[in-house]
Amino acid sequence: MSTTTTTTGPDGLVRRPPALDRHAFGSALRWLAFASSWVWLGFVLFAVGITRSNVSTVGVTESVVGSLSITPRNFLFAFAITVLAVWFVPHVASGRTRRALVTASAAAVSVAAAGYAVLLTVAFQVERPVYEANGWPLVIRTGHVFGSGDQVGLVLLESFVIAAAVGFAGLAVAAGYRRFGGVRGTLALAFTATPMLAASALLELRASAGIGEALGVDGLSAPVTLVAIAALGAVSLATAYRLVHGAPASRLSAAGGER
Amino acid sequence: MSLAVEVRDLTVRYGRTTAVDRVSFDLQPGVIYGLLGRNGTGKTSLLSTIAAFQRASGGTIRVDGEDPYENARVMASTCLIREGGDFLDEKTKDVLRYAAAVRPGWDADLAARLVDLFELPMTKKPTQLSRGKRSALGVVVGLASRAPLTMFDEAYLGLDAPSRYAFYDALLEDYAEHPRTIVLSSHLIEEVERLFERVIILDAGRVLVDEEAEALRSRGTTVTGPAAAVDELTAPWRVVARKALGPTVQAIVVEELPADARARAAAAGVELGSVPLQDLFVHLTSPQGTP
Repeated sequence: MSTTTTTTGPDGLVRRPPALDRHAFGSALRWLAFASSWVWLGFVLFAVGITRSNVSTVGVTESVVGSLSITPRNFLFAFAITVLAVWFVPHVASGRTRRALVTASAAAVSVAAAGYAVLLTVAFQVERPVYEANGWPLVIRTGHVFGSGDQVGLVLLESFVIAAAVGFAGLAVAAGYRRFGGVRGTLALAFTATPMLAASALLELRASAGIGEALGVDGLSAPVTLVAIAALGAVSLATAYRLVHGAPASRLSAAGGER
Repeated sequence: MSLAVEVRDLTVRYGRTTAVDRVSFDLQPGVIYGLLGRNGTGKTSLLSTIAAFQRASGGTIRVDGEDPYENARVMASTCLIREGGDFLDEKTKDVLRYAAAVRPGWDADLAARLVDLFELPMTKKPTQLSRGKRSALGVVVGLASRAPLTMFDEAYLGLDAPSRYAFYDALLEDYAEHPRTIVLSSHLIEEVERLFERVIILDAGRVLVDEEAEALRSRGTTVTGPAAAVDELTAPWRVVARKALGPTVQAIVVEELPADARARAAAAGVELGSVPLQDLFVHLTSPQGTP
């Protein structure tokens, strides 16, 4: 008895591979869900801990969810690297294409990004009544296109777009290491990680009168900012596809390649 | 359920090192091939390139008429098992469940029989397995996948002798029921030569020999008998190996002796025999050897 996602002919040869490799997708998503559960548990513990600490010391001066809002997506970046880097050789050795792994990984990262967006939106909604009841100022000082956690649609959209862009950058970074090996893969960070850094900087600097103004991104509108971040995410994904196409299915070495 | 392979002028380079140098040969569907060569002659590079694990530096490969690289159809029909395996570090039962899910021709019954045969611990991860058990896991995946093009790159070297012979028997039995194109790369030539229908020998990145196994075996002759008679009989040819045991000598010549020489040998009480493939291999790939 065999379970398969591919269509085979009477001669046993594969006729039509699936559009989405659901086994790779499922494996990647399970890993992202498992790893992310620890991140969000830490998020809750840190939010409560920091708030209690601030109450007894300097007082609560800003939204703790806002302060922590950037952290989870950075973990998604790291998890996305592990997905492509760890699954790559077993995936190819299982007779499946590199681009199928990137597609499946990107789909899993997108689902994870959606989950991150929902959880962050919920966190803002949980935080609001607590702050209002205690009379604390609900100020968000980190870079976002929304000014308040009340703007549910904008919180969801921004959180999803930036998390997906950062996750796709993780895939590009992993593809760079797979393609070039340890040393040159690190040098390749100059272009594999740049879109992610640019996307994060865009969110921060659009509210900056100093550097943001100098770079011409000061006061950039929310739609333009989100489209720009989405475009940077697309660049990362295209980079991942491009790099992984020529990556050898070898065990990683500092120099790359295999005899 | 077999795939033909056509390799033309294939070159694989790593920087300045050329591992495979303008190699050309065909793999006919439904045949068991032996791929032999000394260390560093390009066997792994060749098989990895056919299996689309890496790109060729030059030349072409056609598997079932198509370039295998990033070809979903061809890659799904190809299985290369390398020494140590390329498995996720999950429990053996999960590795096999994964293989069952992604390999279209997976035979769960065969996999279960082989797991019993090799006494594979299902709850250990590949990194927790001994080298032998890890090799056994590769053998299980390679055979139970029933890929139309199956290649074992020294994947069973870690097995102990009884397990290796059990693998050879299982391979032949399953091949008889489900013929497919199989390539076995190995240094254990004496053990596996009975499996080969054709033999390809690589030397310094080039194809030295591509022949039917029987034809290759008949290329050489062992000449055994009294030293003087053997030396006289073999004088016209180059003796590539000579062993003496008291007054008896065994010489190996890489020639099929003509009828008159055979008659003289019989008259002189000299025995003629075939040369083991391994001895031929050693001769052919030695610096003084000639194809």
